[in-house]
Amino acid sequence: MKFIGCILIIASTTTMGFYISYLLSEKVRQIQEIQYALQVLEGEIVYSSEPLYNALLLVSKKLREPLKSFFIDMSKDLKEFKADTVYEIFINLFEKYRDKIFLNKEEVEVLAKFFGELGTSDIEGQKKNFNVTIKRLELLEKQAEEKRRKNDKLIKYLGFSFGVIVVVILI
Amino acid sequence: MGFTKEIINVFPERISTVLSNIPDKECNKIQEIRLRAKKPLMVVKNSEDYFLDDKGQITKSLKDAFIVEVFDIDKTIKRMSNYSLYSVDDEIRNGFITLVGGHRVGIVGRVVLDNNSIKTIRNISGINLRIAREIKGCSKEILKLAYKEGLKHTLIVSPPGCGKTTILRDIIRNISNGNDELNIKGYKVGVVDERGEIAACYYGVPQLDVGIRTDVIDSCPKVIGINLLLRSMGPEVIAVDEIGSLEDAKAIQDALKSGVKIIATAHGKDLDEVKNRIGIKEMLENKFFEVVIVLSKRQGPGTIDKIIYL
Repeated sequence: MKFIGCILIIASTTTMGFYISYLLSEKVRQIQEIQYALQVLEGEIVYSSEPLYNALLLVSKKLREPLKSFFIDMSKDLKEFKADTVYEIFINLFEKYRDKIFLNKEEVEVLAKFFGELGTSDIEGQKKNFNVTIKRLELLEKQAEEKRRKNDKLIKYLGFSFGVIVVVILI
Repeated sequence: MGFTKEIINVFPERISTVLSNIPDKECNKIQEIRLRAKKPLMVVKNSEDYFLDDKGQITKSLKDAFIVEVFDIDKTIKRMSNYSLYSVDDEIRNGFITLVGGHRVGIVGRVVLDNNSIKTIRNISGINLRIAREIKGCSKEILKLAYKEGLKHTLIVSPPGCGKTTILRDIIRNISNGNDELNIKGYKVGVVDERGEIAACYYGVPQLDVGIRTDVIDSCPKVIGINLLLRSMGPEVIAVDEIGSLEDAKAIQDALKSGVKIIATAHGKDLDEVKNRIGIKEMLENKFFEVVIVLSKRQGPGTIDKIIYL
């Protein structure tokens, strides 16, 4: 009986460790996917002059969840004139996706700035906005990747060791 | 029915609340909605302008008037472009945007020049939304009188706001659909819609009914458009809006040579006035047109003043 209990404790803390490490790698993936999305979006805007709601919808088709739904919802909100600016629409919508899209404050700020500029100028201005944002995201991706690489093993070990410690204390 | 959702939606909340409070029966008479920065919100009804107070009542008293702020105009423009100013670059350069439903929005502001042509308009300070209304059947009288013996090369002349474009659109619709009552068979009509007022295309699709045999080339300069239609679409009739320059005359001449009937409109009070414009003078002297229709506002927009056979 005791043995089964010990296994259970260790298993659960280890899973926790793995889950946290999954979150870190998922976050890196999401940042990468956002960069990809922006590149596709740039094409739709700069070369085809698609209106924003349509451009976002087209981009959404090439994305995975949760960004896919995020882009679809954003396109819908734009089409229904939910707010006066794209910035407001982004901020309101992001609030809903906070537990699905794992971005920290700094990363959200970069995106908010990007959406604040989106659609408010001519093609030239839009190009600049895309360039700047993609560069920033590359930097953020590097930082997130660095963090993941450094902490990945540590967190997994920590999960396991924590379980062992708890077991030792209990016994 | 008040204003359609398309119109209400393009205004930010502050203004759309006022507009949606306008009583239904007044809405139908409103022809224009005007926003000017730090000036009262105005509507044009029966060719006269009125203020709106913040409850949506139409009034003549300036002190109750709702004042439009700069940020209202800024937000309106963003919404009108579907939050995508870049996608209406070319339209802004020409000074207007077309909305879903074919409503035309004129804009003024600070112009940025590039080699003597307008690169863009920034700091937009004034908006004029002209509500598009189709008046089906308004050209019946003209069709009956002028086209008794078949189609003719036609020039429609009138001052602004007398229904030139509305009449032209109705003529196009009737000859494109065909009308048994008036003994008109359906013709293939090509429309060069340089200013997007005839068919009011929204992303290429006509928002107003221009008939089933009509091909519209949207926001295309008349000269290029006429040639393109002649080359590729084989029209029997070509309709253009607001002609006047010598190049227009030339392009129309090409069309005449290929046996196409021309229906065109021109700004002007009467025939003598439009003759002052060099292109039209040339066209009239060379007998391009067989009939000139002069419109006026005497009994409301679209009154037929004169029909002159040349």
